[in-house]
Amino acid sequence: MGATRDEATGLWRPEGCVLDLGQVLAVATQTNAAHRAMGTELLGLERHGVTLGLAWREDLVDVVGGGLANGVLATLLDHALSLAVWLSVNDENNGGATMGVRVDYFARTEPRLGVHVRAECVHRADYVAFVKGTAFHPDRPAAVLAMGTATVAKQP
Amino acid sequence: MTTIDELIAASPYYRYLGLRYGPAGTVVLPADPRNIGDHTRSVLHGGVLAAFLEAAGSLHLRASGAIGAATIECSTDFLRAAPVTDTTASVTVVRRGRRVAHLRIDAWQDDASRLVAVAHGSWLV
Repeated sequence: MGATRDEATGLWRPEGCVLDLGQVLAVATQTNAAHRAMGTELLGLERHGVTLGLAWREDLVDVVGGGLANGVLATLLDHALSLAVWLSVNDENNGGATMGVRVDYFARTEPRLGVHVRAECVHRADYVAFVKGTAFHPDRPAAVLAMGTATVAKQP
Repeated sequence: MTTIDELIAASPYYRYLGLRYGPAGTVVLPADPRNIGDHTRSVLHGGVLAAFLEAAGSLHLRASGAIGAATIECSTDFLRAAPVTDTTASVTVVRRGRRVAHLRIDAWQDDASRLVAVAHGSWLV
């Protein structure tokens, strides 16, 4: 059967996903003020993961290198990692609290290019979920700019 | 040598965060509802805190002569929920070698003995 198109949001619903996709879209892009302010977009959902995107913005640049700042990647990765746990847990009222996030910076971002971040839940234990994700320029998923990993405490 | 104030003024993203130089070499992330992550609890977004701690580390190195310092990795632990109030970061140089500096960054709000987040990372200098 595979993914089905959600009329209200235009998102593809992964097979088996029972979440309200309107709520997922709201949490990804609207109710989180930091991401509403940055203009974070929800690009895609997987059964255990998400892809977020951010268009180039010259006010989010690091003077060294002239591309989007490390902090922008960290903020996007943190959010995507947390959302990936929610998708994986697949329970409306059961997100989690991020305990820690590590970001490895492979390369400087290029000026005038946006970024995409894809995250997936790697393992869920009783109380903790483990997630990993990567940041890359659109259309260049193989050229990883940064890699993020996080531990997320699930709600009991 | 460039000061932290000048480095903040020159960098769009640090200005976007509203960073400012604090007392005794600290960096301050001023309270801003734009940085809320969880609207049901009105606490700061962990991603913004991670970005802030990494920025504090980079600023510290750039202000001490490594003007092109590049983060290799930075790991942040969120110790407690951080309400929307000023957050202060203090950088400790664990070791500064010829190529790589290892930093620890502590972040607190009203009480310096109650950390809200702590980070450690390495930078190419």
